[in-house]
Amino acid sequence: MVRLHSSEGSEFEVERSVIEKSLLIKNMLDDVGENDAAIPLPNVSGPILAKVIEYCEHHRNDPDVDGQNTTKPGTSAGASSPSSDDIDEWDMEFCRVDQGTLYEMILAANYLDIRSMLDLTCKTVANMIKNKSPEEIRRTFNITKDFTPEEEELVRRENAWCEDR
Amino acid sequence: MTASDTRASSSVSCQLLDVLTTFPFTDPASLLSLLGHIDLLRLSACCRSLRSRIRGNNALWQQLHERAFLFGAYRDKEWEFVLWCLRTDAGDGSAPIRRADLLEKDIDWYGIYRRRLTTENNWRHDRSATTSVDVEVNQSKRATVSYFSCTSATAMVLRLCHSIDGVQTYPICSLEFSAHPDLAQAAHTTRDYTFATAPNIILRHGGDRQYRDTYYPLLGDHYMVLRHMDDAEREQQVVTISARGHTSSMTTLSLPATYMLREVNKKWAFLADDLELSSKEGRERQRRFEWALYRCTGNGPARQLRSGWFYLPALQYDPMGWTTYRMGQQQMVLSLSVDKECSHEIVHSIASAGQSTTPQYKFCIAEQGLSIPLLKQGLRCLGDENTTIYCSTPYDDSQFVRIPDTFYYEHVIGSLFCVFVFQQSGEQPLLFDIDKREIIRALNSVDRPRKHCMLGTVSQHAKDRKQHSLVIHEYGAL
Repeated sequence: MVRLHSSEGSEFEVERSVIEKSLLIKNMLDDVGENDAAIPLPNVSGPILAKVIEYCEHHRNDPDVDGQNTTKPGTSAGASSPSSDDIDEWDMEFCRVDQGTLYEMILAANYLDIRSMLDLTCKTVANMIKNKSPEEIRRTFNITKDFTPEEEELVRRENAWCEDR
Repeated sequence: MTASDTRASSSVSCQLLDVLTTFPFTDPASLLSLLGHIDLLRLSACCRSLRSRIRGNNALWQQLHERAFLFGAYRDKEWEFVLWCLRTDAGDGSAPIRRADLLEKDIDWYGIYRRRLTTENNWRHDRSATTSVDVEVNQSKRATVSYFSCTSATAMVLRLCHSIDGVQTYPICSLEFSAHPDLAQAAHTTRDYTFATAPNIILRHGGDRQYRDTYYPLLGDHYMVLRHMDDAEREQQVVTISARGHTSSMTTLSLPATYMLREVNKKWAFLADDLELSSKEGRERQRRFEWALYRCTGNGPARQLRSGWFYLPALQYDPMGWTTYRMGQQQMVLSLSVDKECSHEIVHSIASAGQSTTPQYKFCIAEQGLSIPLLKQGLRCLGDENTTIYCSTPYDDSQFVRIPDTFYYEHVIGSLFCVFVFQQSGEQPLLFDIDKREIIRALNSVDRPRKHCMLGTVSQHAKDRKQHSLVIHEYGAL
């Protein structure tokens, strides 16, 4: 078992094979070897660490997804463009959280280097953007419109081509 | 990946977007790489910060363009479109001619992506600029266009027919879609003939030799190939390759006279017929075709890439009536005509050297329709209903599209094809989307002959018995 300390000092115990989905922790464990000391995670709060562990436990048997959906820049890749339409039911429910939590989950996945969780959370945000008008996106993400009326008109004209289908 | 440069924001939600849009877009987890162009532009219209991060991200648009267009059988055509954009960006004809020089420029990938998509939409919605140009040679009104060849996505070869003192001549020239009136005044003025007032096309001098049987013009991305045979040396023929925009020839090739020249973008396939006929008693005569693929880089002599041969299936056909149609660098189609109404199309791999297998699967267009996978692979062959296609891959029924009375088709742009069908009123070209499997619209069928390329169509219109004009519809977006 591996012991983890969240930013507030809460302790979590988790099987090594589960938490090794985090490349950061896996590398630390590989470097340090068998050790009883808890791993401090000052950038991850308790509730978010609980979510991370929940994710890793559910996906413990998944194959390594590194390289999936990847396209080397400069190469042709028509068929392998990334898509956000392939989220399964459990993952979708897992990401049904408020935006503040989702934001912290993204930061945690990024910090802990859990690629598949980062993919999932990014896809969730992408789906919150898709098929929405700029006004709807602003409302969804509390974005303040800082364009002057002239700039807004310019943007509207410049973007007109993309609405032509 | 780092989010250390994330800007502080007043709301968590805004922070969320701030973080995600600063992730490297090349990362598969990048939010930006998960969005299509419509969502990206709508997102960019939310605030200044997102606008500059998305609209000003050239590498993002390059990736989007590569994923959308620069792959598959039409990749070379799509690259020609990119080069066309670079040539016409300046708007004054000052862009360099050579591909390498063009690609050294800073490329505005957002602009190219926008122009590519708008051009396709122009086709769909029939938004074109139409120009009518008189066909003239040395101010003579008696010239006509006898031949259109379209081996480039953005230009065509025209063979004119002109009579001087009762002697027919066949000058060759190229027509490039420029979409910029000023380009007609570009520096390439070494021509003996021109179309009178050509506000938005350039006609370049291609060659003025007397036409002979094997004289053959081809236009690739930036080469014009003139093929001619010395009458005194019937066993050999010479292929002259000239760079676009230059009058002197770049290199020449000496080839056996039996070889037929077919262009595959910057590579050329040479085929020879009847090289070996096994005619031993009691054994069927078997026809063997040889091919070779050459590459001309523009630096030094043409280099052979690979060569091979294959045996035809046992078929009845007219030995004099065969021809080839290119498919790409991986496959070619050999068309064998049986009679005026029937032909065999052999889809043959040229992906590797040496002997390749004889195609063993066949389907009939009249019964099954056109094969979508073959269309997507770049199959360009006659689609006469009586045509039988031989290929190495079996296709199931869901992979065919049936358009009644089809007799010919050409790829236009993206998933759009021009399909010619017989109707009571005559031949009718239709714009057909093979992905949606639906007819988009009918194309103008009055003028002919007509030729389509990515940027537009050119057709000949007879004003009267003496005077002909070219009607040019341009769809290329600026």
